[in-house]
Amino acid sequence: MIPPSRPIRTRWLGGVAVLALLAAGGFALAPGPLTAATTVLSYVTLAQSWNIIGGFAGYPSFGQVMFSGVGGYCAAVLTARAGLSFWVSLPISAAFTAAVAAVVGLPLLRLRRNAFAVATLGLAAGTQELVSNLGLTGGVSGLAIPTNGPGPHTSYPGLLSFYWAFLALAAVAVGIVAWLATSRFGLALLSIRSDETAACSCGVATTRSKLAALALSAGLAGTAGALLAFQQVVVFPDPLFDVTTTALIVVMAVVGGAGTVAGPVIGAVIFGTLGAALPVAADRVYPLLLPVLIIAAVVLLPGGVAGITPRRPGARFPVLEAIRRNRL
Amino acid sequence: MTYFLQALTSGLLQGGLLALIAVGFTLAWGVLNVVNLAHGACVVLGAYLTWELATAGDLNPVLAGLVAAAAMFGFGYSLQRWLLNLLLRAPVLLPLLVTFGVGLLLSDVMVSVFSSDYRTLATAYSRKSVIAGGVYVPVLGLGSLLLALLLITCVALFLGRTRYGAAIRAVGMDRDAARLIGIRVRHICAVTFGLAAALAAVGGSLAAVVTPSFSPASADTYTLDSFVIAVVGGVGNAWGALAGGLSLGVLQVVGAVYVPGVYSPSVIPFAVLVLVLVFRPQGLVGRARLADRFDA
Repeated sequence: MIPPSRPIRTRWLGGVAVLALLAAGGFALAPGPLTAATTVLSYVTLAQSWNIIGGFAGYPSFGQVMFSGVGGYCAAVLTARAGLSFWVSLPISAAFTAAVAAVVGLPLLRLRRNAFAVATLGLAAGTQELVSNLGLTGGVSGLAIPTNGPGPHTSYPGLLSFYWAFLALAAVAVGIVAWLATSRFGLALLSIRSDETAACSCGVATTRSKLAALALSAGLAGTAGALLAFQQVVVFPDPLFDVTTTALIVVMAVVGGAGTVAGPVIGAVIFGTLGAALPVAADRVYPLLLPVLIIAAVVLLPGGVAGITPRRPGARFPVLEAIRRNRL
Repeated sequence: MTYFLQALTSGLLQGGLLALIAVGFTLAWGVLNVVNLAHGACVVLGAYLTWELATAGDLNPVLAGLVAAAAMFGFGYSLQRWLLNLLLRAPVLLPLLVTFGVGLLLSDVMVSVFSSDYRTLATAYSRKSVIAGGVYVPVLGLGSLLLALLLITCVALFLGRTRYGAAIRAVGMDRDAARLIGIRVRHICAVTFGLAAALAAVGGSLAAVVTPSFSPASADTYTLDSFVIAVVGGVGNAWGALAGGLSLGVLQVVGAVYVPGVYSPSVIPFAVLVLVLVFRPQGLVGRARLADRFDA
């Protein structure tokens, strides 16, 4: 963990200034770039949510999309079936997703590394199957969040409002991770990542910390998922539980720098911008380019962009250093 | 009773194919500690190669399957030798992400080369069955089960009885110690992954003949089924893959017939996966020796 180079208060003030600038910037953007910026902000939230459990606690969750999907479906079911306002169902969805994470985390967090990754991946796939077949969730034909009509509904806010909502959520996510980086709880998670047995023997409440991290992570992802569901109005199981999204979230956090505050933001901006720009620039090549980018980025930058600055003068070029360290 | 026997038979026949598909996956996981998310894509690529060779190249399907397996061995060898070997000492998350990228790339290439239409490979034995005690046994299904049994026995004997197999097991136990006693670890790792890819291709060419249809979208299902089988059977265990595959096949078919609710057949494997991982992570027939595969 890198100690803060500037006084903490200056950093927070700087963050608020950047946030105000970004919020005001929403007025200046055309609809196209505004939508792209909103997507990038949703990726920032999701990558930071993964960062809490995967980057700090070192538990490689491959089911992050499950949490955003559960959040999205919870909001959709509450608005469409129970007739609640979306803005009431948003915090309920966040709490519900966190609760789901706490329940499934109890057994799953006993697994480590590959087993945890595989179990979360399987759980996400199983949840997708369940949602595709339940009557409550509308099955594969989807479920619409009512935005007009005579019944109870929530009127659809404009592009700009969604931009602000996602900006606020991304700010909360970055704020939580910034707090983790300096707090006792964050230190407990980092110690679990380094050596869980040693952490436990030093008096770190490992189970409680891991559960709290997973619930926090899921709560953030669930809120983002609920907002995404409202943005799309109609939710379908396949896009909401798409495994590619999980992998993309993990790649963003890892390539940016897992376990750092700035890393997932950098990764989300890089891949979000590429995702918006590449299909326009290279329509036919894009589906082939994305996996190549993922592979190259993971092999060359496993420590993340945030850790790329050489620590001492005369150090080897860090990109090749990663390969030297990891290869046989 | 006949009804139950029919379901049981169908499950066993389906399970043979699943076991053959999963044995390469469990081998790569056990020896290299790589959870190969591109495995399903390798299976489907094997199916496509077989289809193209048999249909466009006018080859005997068995010969086409062999050629496809040889080609996939070369692909798997190169992939491990030049890409995944770069990450052998890295945290497990990195190879996981790289194999995901490879799987995505393979799927996208297959969609652009072969299109995403459903295909099927018809042979002279398609739709033929024998009847034993009132139970219909499709000839191709029976053939695939026997082939799976034969190949898995071969893999188990190769790993257990040959010098090459001993080298592979040694690399799986301790890479550095294996290197110290003169095993060419980079080459052995590549051979292991090549073998896994070749077995996936054989499974794929069998699937092209036995299953109703295949398309690039089938890849994810094959990967996830392989997970379940590897975990149930114990990671790195060829006989375990056979036991896991057969039990998964039976569970899927019997579950689809007897458990109410349309979603039961697809949810059962995941429920089994999570339950086994939580309560018996070394697998139902696995040995505790490889339980550290989950930990390293």
